[in-house]
Amino acid sequence: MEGRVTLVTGGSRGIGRAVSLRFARAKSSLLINFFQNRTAAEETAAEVASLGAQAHLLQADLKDEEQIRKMFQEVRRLYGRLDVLAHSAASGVLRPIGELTAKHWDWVMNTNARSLLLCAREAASLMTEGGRIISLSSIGASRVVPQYGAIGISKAALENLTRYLAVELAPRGITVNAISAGAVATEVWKLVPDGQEILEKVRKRTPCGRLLTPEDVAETVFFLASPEARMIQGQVIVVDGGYSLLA
Amino acid sequence: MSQGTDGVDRGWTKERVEKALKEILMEALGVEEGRIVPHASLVHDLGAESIDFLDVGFRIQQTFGVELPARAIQEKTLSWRNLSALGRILAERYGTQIAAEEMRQFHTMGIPQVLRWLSEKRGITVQDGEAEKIAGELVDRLGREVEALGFNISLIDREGIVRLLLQNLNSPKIMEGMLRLFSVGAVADFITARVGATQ
Repeated sequence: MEGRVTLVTGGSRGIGRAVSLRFARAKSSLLINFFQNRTAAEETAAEVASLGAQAHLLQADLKDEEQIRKMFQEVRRLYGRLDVLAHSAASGVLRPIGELTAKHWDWVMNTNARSLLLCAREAASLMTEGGRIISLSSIGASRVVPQYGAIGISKAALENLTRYLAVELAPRGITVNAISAGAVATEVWKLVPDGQEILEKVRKRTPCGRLLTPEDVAETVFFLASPEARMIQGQVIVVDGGYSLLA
Repeated sequence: MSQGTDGVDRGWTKERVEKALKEILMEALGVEEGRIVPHASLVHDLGAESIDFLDVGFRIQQTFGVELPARAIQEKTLSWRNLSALGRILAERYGTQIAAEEMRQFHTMGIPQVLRWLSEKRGITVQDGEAEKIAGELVDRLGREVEALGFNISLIDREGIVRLLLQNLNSPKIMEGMLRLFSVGAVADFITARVGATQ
C-alpha cells in the first residue's frame, strides 16, 4: 500500500479515523476529508504524521456537489491520481419514519448515498486498474432498527449503488464493495439516547462475545483495498461478530 | 486586531461578523432576513434542528475559522443521560458510590425518586429541599462546563432546567433548554470574541 493514494471521507473520527490510521501504518499517502470538526481532523492528521505517512486535510460538505468537485480537484492537484476511495462519511437523523420530514430525508440520503455516487464518479476519473472504492453500510440497510429508518434506507441505496458501480467499473479493473458493520462503540453513540445500554445489549447478543472496534472494520477496508481482494466485486461484506446470524 | 483562529487577519468588525452570520443563517435555515434578530433563538424562533447545527457550524467554520461548540454542548447535556455527573454529586454529598448497573434505573426517574431510592436502599437521611439543591448543582456544573467553551451561560434557563430534572433526568426538553443558548446575538458575540473583531 506504500505510495498508494487513499482518500478517506469522514476520515477524522470514529471508523473513518481508524481507516486513516490503518492506511497510514502502511505508508499510504492520505487525504482525509472532514465536515465540521477541524480539531479532530488535525489530531488525526498529527497521528498519521507520527506513523510516518503524509496526510492532507480536505474539508467539504459531501451533500454539496460543488464541494465534492472542488475536493477532487484538490486530489488531482496534489497527486494527479487516486488509488483508494474509502467512503466512511455518514450522518443521520434518529426518529421514527412517520416523523421524518423532507429535510431529514434529503439530508441523510444526500450525505450517505448520493455522496457515494458523486465521489465514486470523481474518484473513478482519477483511478487506473487496481483502483478500489469501499464504502460503509450497516445492518439497518436490510433489517428494521428502531428510529434508524432514514439512515437504514440511505444505506440500502448505498449497497445497491455499490453493485451497479461494481459492474460498470469492473472492466477498468476497479472494484467497488461495501462493508456492513455491526455496532461499533464510537463517540456517535454518546448522541444516542440510552446509547450505552443499546451497546451493552448488542455485546451480549454477539456470538463473538464483544463489540466491534473501529480497527476491526478498518482491517476489512484495508483488505478490500489490497491486490488480494481483486476478485471481490460488488459485495457487501458483513463484519459484525456474527450478530446478524441469530434469529 | 481582527484575526481568526488561524492567525489570519481578515479585517473582521462586529458589523461584518453580524452581516456574514445573517447570510449564513438565511442560507442554512431558509429563513427571511427580517426574522434574524439578536434575540431570536435558532431553535425556537428560526426552527433549527440538530442537523442544522451541523450545517450552520460548518458554514461558520468556513467563513470565520471558528468552531461553534454546539456538539460539545450537546454531548455535555447528554452526559446526564449516563448519569455520571449525578453519580459524582451523590458520592460527594452522601459518601456513597452507586454502581453503573444501579444508576441505570435512574434514567426515567426525577431527582426526588432517586433520593427516595437512596433513602430506602442505603438508609441515607435526606433533608427537605435536597432534591432542588442537587438539581441546581447539576445545572451549575453543566453551566461551568459550557462557560469554559466560551458561551454566555446567562441565557441558560436555570430554574426551568431544575424543574425538568426534578421530573425526569432524561427529559429531551433539557437539551432544548440548553440549545436556547444559541440565540443569534449569542452566536454573533461568540464569533466576534473568537476572531478578535473590532467594534
